[in-house]
Amino acid sequence: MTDLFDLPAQRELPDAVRDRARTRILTELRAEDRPRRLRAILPAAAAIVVFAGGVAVLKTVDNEPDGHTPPAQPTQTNVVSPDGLGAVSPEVLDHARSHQVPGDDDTRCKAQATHEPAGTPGPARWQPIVSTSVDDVDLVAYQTPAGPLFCEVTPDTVTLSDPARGHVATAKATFTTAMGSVAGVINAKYTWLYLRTAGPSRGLPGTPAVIEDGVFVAPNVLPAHPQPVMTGYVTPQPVGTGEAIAEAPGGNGGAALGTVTDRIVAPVDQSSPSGQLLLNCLAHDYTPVVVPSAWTPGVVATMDDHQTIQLGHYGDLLMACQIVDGTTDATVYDATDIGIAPPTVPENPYLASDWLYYDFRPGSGGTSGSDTATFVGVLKSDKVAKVALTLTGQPTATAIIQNGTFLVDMPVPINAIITTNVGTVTVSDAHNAVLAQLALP
Amino acid sequence: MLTRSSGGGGGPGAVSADQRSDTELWQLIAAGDHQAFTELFERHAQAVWNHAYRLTASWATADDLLSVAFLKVWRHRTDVRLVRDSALPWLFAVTANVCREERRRSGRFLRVVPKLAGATTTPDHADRIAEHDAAQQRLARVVEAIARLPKGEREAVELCLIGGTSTADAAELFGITETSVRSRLSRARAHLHRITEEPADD
Repeated sequence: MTDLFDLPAQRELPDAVRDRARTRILTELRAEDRPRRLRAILPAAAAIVVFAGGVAVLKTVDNEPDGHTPPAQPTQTNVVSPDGLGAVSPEVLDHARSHQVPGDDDTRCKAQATHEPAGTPGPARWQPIVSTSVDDVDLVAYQTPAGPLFCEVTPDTVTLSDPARGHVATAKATFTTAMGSVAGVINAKYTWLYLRTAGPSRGLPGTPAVIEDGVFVAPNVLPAHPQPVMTGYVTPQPVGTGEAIAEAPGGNGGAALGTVTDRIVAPVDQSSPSGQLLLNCLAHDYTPVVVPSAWTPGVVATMDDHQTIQLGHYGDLLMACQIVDGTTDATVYDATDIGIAPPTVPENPYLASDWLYYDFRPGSGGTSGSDTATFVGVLKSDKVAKVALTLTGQPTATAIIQNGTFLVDMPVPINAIITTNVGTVTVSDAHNAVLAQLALP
Repeated sequence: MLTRSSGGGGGPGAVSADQRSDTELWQLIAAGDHQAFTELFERHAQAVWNHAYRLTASWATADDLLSVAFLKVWRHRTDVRLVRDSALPWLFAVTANVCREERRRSGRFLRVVPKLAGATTTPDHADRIAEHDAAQQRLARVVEAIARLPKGEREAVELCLIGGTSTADAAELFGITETSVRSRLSRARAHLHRITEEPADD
């Protein structure tokens, strides 16, 4: 009879698995050596990179001067989230700045103060608590003598709340917007707050909000006008025991006063089939997209009989959209977030890029997986006329460039991406002079 | 100095006379030496990976947990207990903890970078190939059954029967007598056979 412990023979560790693990380990070790912005004490991952264990992390106050301030330097995973997974902190993801508001946002928010209810303190008495930004949606929290109030700023609109009054025992979402932003007040006992839409969670707590001085803010986090389900985490506590917070939006002040269009953003010609496809893609992003009429249609590539990729961009934002047998899957990337996700190429003045996975196939438990990617991105300089991708040991492939976006129409297997010394990206001008050769890590 | 390896004197993890021992490496690792830790990783990665597979019955999970286990070891590097100049028993114990945490989290996934990620997951190629493998299926049943054992028996099984660590080394790691380890293993075998509905061999 077979012994219960007649175990499968040991296997040789594949080089690709070894290399990937080594890379992850060294990335984390190096990240620990860098100065970083930190959070309050935590008890306890994609996503992408998963870590285990509990690490205490302390907060430091950012004392940068007022005026134009560059985005907070992003770092790699630097906190451990409540369920024990390593995570990029919400402060990094949301480009949070403590006690600061970008000058333009501050001006635009305070210009709408006349819409506040009678008795609301004037803008001279608004003190910034924190400002955040995701995909050109900025969300600011101010402290006023009447309580905190919130201001959402997009390229063409401002949405202001009135002050949120009263003490809260848990947390209350007092401000929700058409751009899917959520903000509110929160008891100091919480160090993490997650937001998601109603419905089956499948074990996912949602997206973490930035918490500071009794408020929480999460810009562009959910679909329009969300009714968020909130889960709060108190420290210390066992892993995975978040506290469901049943406070409903509104009811304690802080209602949105209405959105004001205070800027005009010129629309672009979207009458082409590609433009119409892009508009459809923009409408399918999980969260609302800023100024859809101003997005420029970029490369459209038919990958096979079933799937098409449509790119588009607005400023530093890249839309990467896949249409598979009529189903649309759209994602917005921010080219300035190069330091958050592991970059595909070193930071440079010519382009921002990423691997776009496609050809997803069903897996178990409702999941799906892909091991094929294409190289896509947005151009940052008008000098760029050619982008060429050379994978180690492979012939060079030239990207299709269209309206500031590019795509290399060549499927790249994941094993070629996750190894070290993947290859190079060569950027050239109209005279074929090489502007940069960027090593793929 | 030669140290004990996971699969015999010449197998993975074995150290040649001109290499630094695990003890020597750990003195450096405890002081924060990345290079020493990388050397330890190269030495024991295969053994840890195979151990993770045997505890989860999934190569894809083992792939992911390989780095998780080593990072957890790094973060607790001042708490490490080397057994007979080898870090492997400790690595196996940490791997078992990581695998248990993964089991608790199974089905949960933190969408950390929802707007940045390419929504990528790598498919279980190895698992699809293995899904019709009878040995893999039996391992999956064993893993499931081990998870239902009392803690002391489960740890002994994971370290000794799955990981191949000797009862003497396990005793030193757990801080108990070797007799206690053997007793736990004996009870565990009986429990597991009942759980898996196979008659006990002894």
